[in-house]
Amino acid sequence: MLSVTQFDNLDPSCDAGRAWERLVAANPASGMMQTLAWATFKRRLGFRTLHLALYDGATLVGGLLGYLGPARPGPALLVAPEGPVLPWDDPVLARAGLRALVEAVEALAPAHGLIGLRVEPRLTPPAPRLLRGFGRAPVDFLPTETLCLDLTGGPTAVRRQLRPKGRYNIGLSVRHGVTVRAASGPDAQTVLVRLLAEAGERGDFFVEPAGVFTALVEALAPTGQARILIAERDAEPLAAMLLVTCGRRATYLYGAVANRQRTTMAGYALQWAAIEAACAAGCSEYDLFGYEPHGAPEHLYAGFSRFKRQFGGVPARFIGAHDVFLLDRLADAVVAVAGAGAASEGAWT
Amino acid sequence: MAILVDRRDDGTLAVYYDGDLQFDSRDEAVYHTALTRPALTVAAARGGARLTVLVLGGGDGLAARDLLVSPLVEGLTLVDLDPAMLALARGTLAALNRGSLLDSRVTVAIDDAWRAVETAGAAGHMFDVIVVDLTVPRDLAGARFHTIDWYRGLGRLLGPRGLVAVNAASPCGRPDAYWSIVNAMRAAGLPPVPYRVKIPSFAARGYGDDWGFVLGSQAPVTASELVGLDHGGASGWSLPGWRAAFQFPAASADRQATARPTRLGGHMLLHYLINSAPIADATGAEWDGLTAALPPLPPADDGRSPLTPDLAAALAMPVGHRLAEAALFDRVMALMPALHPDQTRVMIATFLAAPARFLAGLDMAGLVDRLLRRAGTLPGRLVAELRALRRLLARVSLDPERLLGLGLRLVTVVTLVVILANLAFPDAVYGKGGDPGSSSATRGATTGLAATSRSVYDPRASESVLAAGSGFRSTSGGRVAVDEGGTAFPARHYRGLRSSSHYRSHASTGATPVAAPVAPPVEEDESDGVYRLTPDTDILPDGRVVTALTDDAYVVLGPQSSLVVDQRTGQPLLTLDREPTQVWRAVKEIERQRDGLKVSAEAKRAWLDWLGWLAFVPDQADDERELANLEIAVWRLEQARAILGSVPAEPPPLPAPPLAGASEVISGVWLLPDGSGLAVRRPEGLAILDGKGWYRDAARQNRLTEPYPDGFRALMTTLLTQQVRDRDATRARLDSEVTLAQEELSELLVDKGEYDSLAASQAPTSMVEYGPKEVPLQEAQRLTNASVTLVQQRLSNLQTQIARLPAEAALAERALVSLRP
Repeated sequence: MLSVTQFDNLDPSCDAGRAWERLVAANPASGMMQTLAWATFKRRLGFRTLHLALYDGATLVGGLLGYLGPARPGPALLVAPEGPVLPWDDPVLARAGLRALVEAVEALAPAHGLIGLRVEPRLTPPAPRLLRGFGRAPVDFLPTETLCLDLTGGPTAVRRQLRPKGRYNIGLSVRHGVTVRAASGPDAQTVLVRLLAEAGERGDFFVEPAGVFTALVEALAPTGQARILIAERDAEPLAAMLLVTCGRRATYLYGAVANRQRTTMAGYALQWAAIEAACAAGCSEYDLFGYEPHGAPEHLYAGFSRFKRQFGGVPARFIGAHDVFLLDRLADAVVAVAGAGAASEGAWT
Repeated sequence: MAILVDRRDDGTLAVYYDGDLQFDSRDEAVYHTALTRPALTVAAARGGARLTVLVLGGGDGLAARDLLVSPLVEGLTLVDLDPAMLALARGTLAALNRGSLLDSRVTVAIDDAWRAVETAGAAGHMFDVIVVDLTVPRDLAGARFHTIDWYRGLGRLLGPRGLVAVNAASPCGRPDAYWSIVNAMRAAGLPPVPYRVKIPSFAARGYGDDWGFVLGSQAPVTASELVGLDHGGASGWSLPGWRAAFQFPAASADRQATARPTRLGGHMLLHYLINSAPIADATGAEWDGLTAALPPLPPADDGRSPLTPDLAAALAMPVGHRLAEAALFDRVMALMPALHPDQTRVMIATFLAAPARFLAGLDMAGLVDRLLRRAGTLPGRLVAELRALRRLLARVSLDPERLLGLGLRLVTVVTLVVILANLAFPDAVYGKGGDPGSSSATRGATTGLAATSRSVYDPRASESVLAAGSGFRSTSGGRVAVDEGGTAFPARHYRGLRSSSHYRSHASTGATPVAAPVAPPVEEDESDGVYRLTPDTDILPDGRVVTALTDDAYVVLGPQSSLVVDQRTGQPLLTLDREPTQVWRAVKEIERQRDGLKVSAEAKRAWLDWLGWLAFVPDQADDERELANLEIAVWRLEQARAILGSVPAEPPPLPAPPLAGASEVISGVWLLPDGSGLAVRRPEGLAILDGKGWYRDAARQNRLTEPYPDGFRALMTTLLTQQVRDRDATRARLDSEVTLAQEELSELLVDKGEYDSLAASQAPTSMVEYGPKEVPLQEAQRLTNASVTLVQQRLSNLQTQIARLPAEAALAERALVSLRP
């Protein structure tokens, strides 16, 4: 018998919290964004969370950590990136679980102005039949295409996967005297933010505000899920990245190289150090988080895909985000907006 | 809350709170003097011999420091929510705040300011002066500290002659937000006196050229009460200058008539903080806050309407015919506000580029059904639309594009609701995910001048922008290139230009030199691109215009011809004839950006003049450098404009192919229709080029006597190879999308077959599995058919894209063969 329990800021150190974290870590279709530490991070940014746990009797079998944007009047979506957590390989149980979760969200919707639920499990296409009724969302939160390294053979096996240029540049970087250190304190955060800003200006792409990285590191570093790696030469930071681990997956979430001393190939030394760190942490998969597999030069991911390609790996594709609209709640929202717009009722009649 | 202290080598520091600058020690005295001194002065003028002061926020102890300067202050209660900030104040910042939090007159409480005010009110506590030194709101929780309800609560803690001084917003950077705060105080019965100063570090962060405060009191503050204003210990603060602080540009003050004050739960202040457009010239003084008559108060926002007033007004337009509704839809999209401080206009525009995708996951028939159940609450015209739509959807499945094309107000409203819900989740606009609306998430249409002359790019479609970035404040000379918005990029280096006599001959014939306002910095390398005109075009320190073709080659634009140069060797590869469309575009782009920079420079110059009364402002040098750099950039653009010579007002006709059926590779270079070579327009006349030689005639009977341009041939081979590779990648991506869509369709058709089979034996109302739910069989069939239609439409679109892949791919491949030596 399935039941849904709603948790309010579940403590990761309590039994239920530990059970949730174990469940997320063990589910290949889920990941860091369903962890309690990630929820803490998002709450620090002003997001609200709805945590629904799915029990089969007394056994936790699934659930979702859903995020809502900061409070404001008007319609809202509940977003569950890398969720819901379901036993996808058991379609009967997964279907019943998803149904129970959607019904729980429907019950909570009026209180939060929800018009829909967005899910984004890491499943390979095509979308499973139990997601019928969910439509493709207009945006994804995760990259639908990525590049993953198999770490199960350890660094030696990964090194064999490297493209020659990647192997050469790692060596070159070492010869240039680039070293990599791990950190998570304020100074390291400052380095990461500065280098990301530099890269953002250079590459003309948006970089989240500094507070995002500070909140992320402060929420995830204490649990060992996040660390900043900094590549430097003669104490000058030349590249930095944020490495996040969840279960047996390590994710290269953010990274940047400086404008200076580009010939030192510090980005290669940094990436290699991250791969070694992921292996040491017991990870079996290294997700380079975003990849363009066809070599299209105008693609948004084109630039960093050329870099990532040098590390070998296997391209992966996911089904992307899917929305289910709560039609009654959406209808209520349409009525409210139409009412706000129909101030001059006569014009509409 | 995350606090970051940025210490500098010179001993100064800056404190950031969740990424927002709180203060910079180099100019915090300006802020804190402005925040505290007027209130203290008026309180003293009102005969307060002993003052009790409440500071809300201000955990850094700096406002307290400036308040405690007054011997009249008998007691000061400071309430701050963040123990970490208070610890910082007692430690790292103790020297800067002179140990203010340890002063015997000070009581510190760690509490939420709202709760503290309620508690104090309930206890009957009263204060002579309240200083509100809270951070600028980023969410509704923060915005409640500028609501009418909040200021009424403060009013209850003040006697009739008590004063409240408020840190507000930038009157010129976020004018609607600033005047919304002023109006909230006014609506709460605290007649406000607005005033402003310049906080250089705030301006440098883009918070606004000025920074505004508000002084309020139930007994209106008069000009005579402010006569005694002094500098508060800040050296160089001139007394006459205070008068200027109460004066505002009319363009800012005019917003007072429309900026709605907010009630608890209202979101208009946040909307203003995020969306209010800045005023270019912050120097005006037409409106005097001490003497001017006030306009009627605009209505308060209570948060009940989910729409901004302009969106509501747009939706209130009478329902019209299809074209009028299409125009209204476009207007609604254009008015879509950012709902989060980090959402930029560019993000919103990108997000809304394909609005149909917001309807892709929606069961419109199901929604229509739900809405008709609510017909009594909807305007009659919408109900009529709903009925018509229900009839239509019963007959056909409509993909989102066709739904939008119906020109129904209902569809506009539904799309608006779904988009608002998406925007309310701020990650959605900058998540790392791809864009499902486009099968190949490519960059937007290029504004590069390297595009062929037949591209659709038209500089007249773009407006000038203000230079808001920090690039023009840079001291790094020629090592960076700055664009019109002030964004800095690493400078591209162009080898070979210094020795290019070819180019100089053009300049001498076509250019009228313009006097430089300031000599360009000597450290600039004349072959560095110092101004980024477009992503692929730079302007050099002397005004020359250079467009990158590949990593290994670039083109120098001249009035009569263009020079193609090998970046690796610096050697000229070929001279191309003037291509009027390309030159026209470059000139118009230059003129547009020059005009924008002139406005930015003029505003900066006026600001510096206005700033004179704040002689002690430490960062004035940054402003002066920014102005000088803006003037240099204007001069460079003038030079570039002069070099390129005169162009007609309207775009010249697109160039005709030199041979029928030829396609343009770059401006002036055409692929022959049979792929057997290239046609090159040179000042000396047309040349036909293949791998074996070059000729003056299409029949290739007459060889040119000049040396064969092998470097140019190699460059064109690179470009064509790149084109072939690009098309291959695009094709591979589209093929991959087709495979996925076919798989999806195949599964859906299996579902459809199963439902159809069930329909032969079961009633249409019998319940069947559909996704996680059970629905009536006929509903499952309807939804499945709709999904099949959608996927078929997607497949069709993909196949159309594949079919449209330019036929030049094969042509380019043939040309590559023909260009082999």
